[in-house]
Amino acid sequence: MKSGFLGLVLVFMSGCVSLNSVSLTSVPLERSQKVRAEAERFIFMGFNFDNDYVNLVTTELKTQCPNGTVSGLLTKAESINYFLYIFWKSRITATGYCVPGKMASGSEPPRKRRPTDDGSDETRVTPTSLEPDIQ
Amino acid sequence: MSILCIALTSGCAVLHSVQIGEIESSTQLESVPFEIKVSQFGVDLNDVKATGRILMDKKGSDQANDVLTAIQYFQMGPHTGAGVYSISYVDHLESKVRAQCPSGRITGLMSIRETAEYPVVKGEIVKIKGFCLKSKRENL
Amino acid sequence: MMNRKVLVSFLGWSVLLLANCTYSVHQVPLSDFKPYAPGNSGKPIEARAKQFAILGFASETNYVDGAYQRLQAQCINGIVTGIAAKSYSEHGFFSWTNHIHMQGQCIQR
Repeated sequence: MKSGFLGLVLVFMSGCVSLNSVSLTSVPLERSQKVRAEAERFIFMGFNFDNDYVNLVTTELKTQCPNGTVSGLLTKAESINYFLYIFWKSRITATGYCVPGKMASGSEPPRKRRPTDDGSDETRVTPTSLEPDIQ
Repeated sequence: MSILCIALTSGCAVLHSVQIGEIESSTQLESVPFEIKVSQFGVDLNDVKATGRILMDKKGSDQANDVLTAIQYFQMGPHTGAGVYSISYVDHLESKVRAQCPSGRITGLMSIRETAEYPVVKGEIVKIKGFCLKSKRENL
Repeated sequence: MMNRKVLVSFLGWSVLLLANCTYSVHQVPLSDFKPYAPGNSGKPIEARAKQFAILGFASETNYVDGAYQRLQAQCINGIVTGIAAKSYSEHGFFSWTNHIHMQGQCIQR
């Protein structure tokens, strides 16, 4: 009886994880530097008065990638139920890559127009990208 | 009778999730909206039970409820809307998005998961809306 | 007698039509489509992962990360863009299987 109860307690303490939502962005070419951030909140009886803890994820990612672009992000929102949703935890996890310097989409930064010898403006056209010229 | 018909045909729309992506616009490009809507019908067994209670006598409806409850034991799990019997309706959505915009300049994507609720039968809908950026010269 | 016939036919049709595996699509998140490229310029890639749970007992959701990694592994020297990931559950007898199916495009540089 005691061991059965203890087993049940251990099962519940491990938590049942369920996935609430997923979001993702496109994956960059440069994937050498991984970044990861997590924020969680323990909730009792549904008493949760704000969701400001999720802002910590973005702040942490920016700290890990100070001079670059965080891209290839996979964001998960999970619920971990410890006991009948009386005690449960909400967790946000974001993993991605830090692409230093260059724009993470792989396209070059927009080039300014510069005059050529014949007086006309030359505009550089990137062969594979169809992004419009930004003036 | 007419009120019943109106109630049966109108349905309720239930929104489950929305996701909005980045939106790009330019004075030199025109944003042409597009929409992709895919759906599949699902059956709510609780509605079937309630309908059975109305249409049948007590003994019959109890027996029907027992059968339907046994079926529900085989359909347990997280539900967003009603369960559907085929998952292929959400296949290749990104190909359908690209087909709407062959140039590939797609922006302002919005993904909506919703349910159109009618008695017993539910419509499980996934809608993708977005904009295709086209140069104004292309439209001449 | 008529009631019994109606009941039997109702039960029979219910079992035939409804006693199949059901699925529930939870979300279809989409990534951006940058860098902009024509639809036929890249290679379509996809990755799937699943997690079986009895009565919801699951200790983690790493199957999603695994699918994302496998998708990237198919595009080592390229950019993975236009990713549509459908998250759905396949229902069963006091158990279910959570699925994630990612489809995208690999644009080589």
